[in-house]
Amino acid sequence: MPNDDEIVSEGITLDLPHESHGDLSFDVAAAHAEARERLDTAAAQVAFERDIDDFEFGQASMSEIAAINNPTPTEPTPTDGLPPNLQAIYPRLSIVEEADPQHPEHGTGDIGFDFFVYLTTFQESFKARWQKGERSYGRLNPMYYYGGTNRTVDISFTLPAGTVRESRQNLNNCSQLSRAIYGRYRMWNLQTEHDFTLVGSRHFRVNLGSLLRNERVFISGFTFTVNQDAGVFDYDDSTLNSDGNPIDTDVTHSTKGLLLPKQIDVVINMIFKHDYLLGFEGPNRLTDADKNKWASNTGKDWPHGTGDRRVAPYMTGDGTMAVVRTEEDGVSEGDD
Amino acid sequence: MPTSTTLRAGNAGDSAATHWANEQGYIIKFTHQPTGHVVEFPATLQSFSDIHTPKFSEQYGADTMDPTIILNSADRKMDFSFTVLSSSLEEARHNTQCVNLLIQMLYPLLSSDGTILGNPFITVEIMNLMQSAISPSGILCIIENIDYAMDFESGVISHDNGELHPISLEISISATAVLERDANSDTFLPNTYPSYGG
Repeated sequence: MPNDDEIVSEGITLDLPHESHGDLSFDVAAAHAEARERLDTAAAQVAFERDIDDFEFGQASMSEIAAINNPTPTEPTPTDGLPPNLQAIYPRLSIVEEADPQHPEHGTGDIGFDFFVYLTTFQESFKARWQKGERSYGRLNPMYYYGGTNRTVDISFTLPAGTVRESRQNLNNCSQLSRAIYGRYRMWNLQTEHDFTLVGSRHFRVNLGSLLRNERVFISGFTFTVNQDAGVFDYDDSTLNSDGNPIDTDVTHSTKGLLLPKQIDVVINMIFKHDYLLGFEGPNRLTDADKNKWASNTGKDWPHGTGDRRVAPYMTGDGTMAVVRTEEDGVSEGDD
Repeated sequence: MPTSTTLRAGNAGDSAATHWANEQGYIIKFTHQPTGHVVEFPATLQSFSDIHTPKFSEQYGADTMDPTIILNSADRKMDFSFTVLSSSLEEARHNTQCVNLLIQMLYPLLSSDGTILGNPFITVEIMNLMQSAISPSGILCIIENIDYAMDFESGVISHDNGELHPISLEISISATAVLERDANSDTFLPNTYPSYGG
């Protein structure tokens, strides 16, 4: 008769057919390589198709963007074994730290999160900065001064864990993400000791399916919540390896005092720092045929992707500004 | 001659989820003033509030109990939300393009050197609830905020490579009216402003 934990574990195995359940010899590297190979194959296919397609058609796909970005996941994800149709339902959230465009000499940082997530909230906000001027007596309207438009997004998702291994991975990934809101520091070597000064905030490149495509963001908030109702994995030192040392099983762990939650709810808040032109016309749209067209001239929908649907007439472009950052410094050739 | 684009949501695919709104002519229409681009949505309104706020100043005399009230101005602020419903991948993609255009309307017209040439004033028309008193269009507004919230309870329409569209998307908008005057009118404000029809 299995205990409660085993029943839970078996149930999830049926629902989520990933490869790590019930198999402690799960080959992390092999699974990861397989997932990457599948992604690269898809990206290559998309790249081939886009070479022969009119640029008016289609969007940069997740695979394409991921291939450009080359994110480096630190751990295999619970859904690495998911077939492509399920991967579409659980979109891949990729948050990769990149160099500060103004101080590329400080390096690219080391935070990388690449995970299929169970989205629970996606709320984007576009706030136009209008400033009201003075209104003289009897005047119908005040003067309105436009200063720009801010874009922010709040993303909530759940990280479930069917096994102890996955719970550890989730905690590890959340640890990385939580570091994202803290600044980057530079070490100064003094004569007898060293000291640190704040260099600035961290910059990230984020992808989330067709919703967020290769956008540069600051992470302005991170909320980590353990869902107590889902339970935790208990400590049990009765399972030993061949050397007689306690080891983890799928449903128990061997580290006394370690809390391994079965479900973590995460909220991430982001502020966008676009590295391309936003507006209509502008320096990339100088011909008469470009009147009233979207400024970035990529031939792709913005802000959200629409698959291979033909873009609206005002969004068509020759794609000359499709690549807005260079490999060397990761900065825009646009308006940054 | 500059060309403007008109998009209409809920009008793609074989079975639009918003057939009733289309049939009844319940339409929300946004027009981007600097470019003339237009986007329309079936008016699946979830909320609508229209707040008229007068601004007064008070003056007190030496021997009067009550102040003299002086009207300085009156502002009009609208908050409304509506849902964008999709019943197929094709319709979802079309609706996403419409929502994209609505969001893009918060951005200005740029000059050749990238500076702002035309502020993003938007004319909003919601049937008889928001209509101009001097023209057959809507009310000129500054839209201060657009919130884009996916309703995951209703499900999503997904496709390969992470393409994801909500079946039900809620758009919330906060706008302030810019009052218009009819130069030929013999009254300061049009007699029919504000008006909710009827």
